[in-house]
Amino acid sequence: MNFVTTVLPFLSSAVSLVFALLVWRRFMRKRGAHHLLWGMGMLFYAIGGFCEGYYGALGWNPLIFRLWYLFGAMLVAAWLGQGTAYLLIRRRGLAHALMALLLVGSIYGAVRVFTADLDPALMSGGLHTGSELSGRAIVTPGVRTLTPFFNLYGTVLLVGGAAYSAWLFWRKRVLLHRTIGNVLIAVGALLPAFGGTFSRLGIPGALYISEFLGAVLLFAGFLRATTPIPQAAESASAPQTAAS
Amino acid sequence: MKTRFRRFTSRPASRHTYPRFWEKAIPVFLILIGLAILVLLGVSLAVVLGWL
Repeated sequence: MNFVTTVLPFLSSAVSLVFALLVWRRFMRKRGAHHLLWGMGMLFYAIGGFCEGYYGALGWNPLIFRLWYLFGAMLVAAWLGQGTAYLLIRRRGLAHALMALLLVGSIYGAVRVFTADLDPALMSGGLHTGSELSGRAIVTPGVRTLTPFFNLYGTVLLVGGAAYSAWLFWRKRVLLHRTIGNVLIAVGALLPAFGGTFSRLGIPGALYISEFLGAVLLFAGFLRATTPIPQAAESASAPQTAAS
Repeated sequence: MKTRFRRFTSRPASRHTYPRFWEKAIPVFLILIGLAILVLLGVSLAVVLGWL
């Protein structure tokens, strides 16, 4: 059993699933559409990781590939980003409109992915060894072209939103735990995006490693952002704060 | 809009500060994150145009 192509994706899946459950528990307590959507996004992350691990352990399966491509490659970033949209966009109507667009786009994407022709042999073409799942297996034109739009939308919202929040807190010098948490979330969201790029360039293991690190950083960022730093510890490390 | 922007940018900085490390590290991280987003935008454009 290969660590990078089998164990690591299953670990990513487990971390994401625990994260999703934690976010949903928060949704049950505090409500907020952003919690619900972040939970959905992390569930998609977990599905993607599971499919990658399944492929590493048991080999090709068209249903597993389609599930991986739809949830792990196409939708995960967009749904996480939509959660941030609900958190940061004050005009509810705009957030709902974006949600409706995403929903329609996701259904269209699902139909395209589940009706696409596949050829697993294409995954080992060019620089790719075939040991990792790759969208190259999709033969039908126009399906893979959709993915960058979803990912760009999600990554810009998720990373941009987290960075913007961190900047606001940093500027006012308040809530250090939220500043650090948002930086971790931004970096965690960037990692799989870059992993996908490196994977396209043929660097083996880049996608799975970056997905694992991304899941861990997103989880750590969420925990950091939602857990205030004890006042005593904060003022001990920053004596000037206590004086002001 | 202009007024709101001016009010936003001219707001006096807080007298509070973060621990020294975070005070300096956060803006560096944010700049790097901003640059990374720009790179991703470029890569996505390249993918859509079929260059990658």
